[in-house]
Amino acid sequence: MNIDSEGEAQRDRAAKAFRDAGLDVDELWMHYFSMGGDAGALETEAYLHGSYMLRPIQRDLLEHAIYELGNFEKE
Amino acid sequence: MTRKHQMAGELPEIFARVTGLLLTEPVVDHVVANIAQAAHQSLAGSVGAGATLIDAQGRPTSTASTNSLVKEADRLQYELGDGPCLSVWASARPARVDDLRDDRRWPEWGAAGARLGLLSCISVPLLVPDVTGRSAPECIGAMKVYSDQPHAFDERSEEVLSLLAGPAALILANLQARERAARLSDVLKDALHSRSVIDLAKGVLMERLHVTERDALQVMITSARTRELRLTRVAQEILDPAETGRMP
Repeated sequence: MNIDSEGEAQRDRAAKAFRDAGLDVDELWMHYFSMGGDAGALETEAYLHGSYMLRPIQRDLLEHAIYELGNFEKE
Repeated sequence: MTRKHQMAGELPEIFARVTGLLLTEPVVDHVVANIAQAAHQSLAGSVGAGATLIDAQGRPTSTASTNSLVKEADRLQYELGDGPCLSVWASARPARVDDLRDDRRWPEWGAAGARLGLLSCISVPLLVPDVTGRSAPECIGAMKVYSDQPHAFDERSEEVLSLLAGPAALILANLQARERAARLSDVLKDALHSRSVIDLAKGVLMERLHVTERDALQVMITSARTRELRLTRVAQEILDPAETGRMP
């Protein structure tokens, strides 16, 4: 599997998890930012819509931010 | 809406505040008091005018008025929890009371106002246009004039007052932005703290395990998921195992 298809598969996975969890994109970006994410809110939204690609480590972070927001109670 | 939810869109407000782009409270109060004075002087029959900023819970947060009579009439509304200004704020539409002694909409407030010698009034919403243009203007309070005569005001007075309410609303919105920014700074502080904890832990792991940045993050994420902990908690443990070990 080359880099691109790995990235695209991860992006599809994240977009689906984001939709399934019914999250707000601003709220997600804020959480991702607080975990060390450095892509902007616009890039994040574009990534989830499939029109932008994030660096691998940013993809991992965003995926985990979606997981945390969907699985932990709000503070 | 959660506080964090508001954060992303309003981050610029924080920077506007710390760089001094937002007006301070005394400046805002002064300008709004001047606008109230202009309303008072330009509307025949007026004995006083004022503007009140009302928060999301319907509580007045800041007022500017030309005299104590207006202040007292306002105070009555918030004490009774009913009155034209609160209705104007809730509905975002102007209201005119031609005779406080026999108005059926706010009988209690009308009677109390009449005892103060106030017999008619108009109140218009303080509307702030949505900067994105996507939603309707937000109503942040009301501006009003009072008269000691019944039927002192008509549609034209309502128009004049609405024209003055525009700039007053914009200036008061600046004050709201400042308050919001103060609250949001705390959220920002938390976020920056958590960022640096995770970044530091990542660096420690890279050094300790001789791995890449991405792999170090993966180690933390895996640990967080297996143990059902937040990533920040895992990062804290890496930085200070003894300290977090003692925590419940």
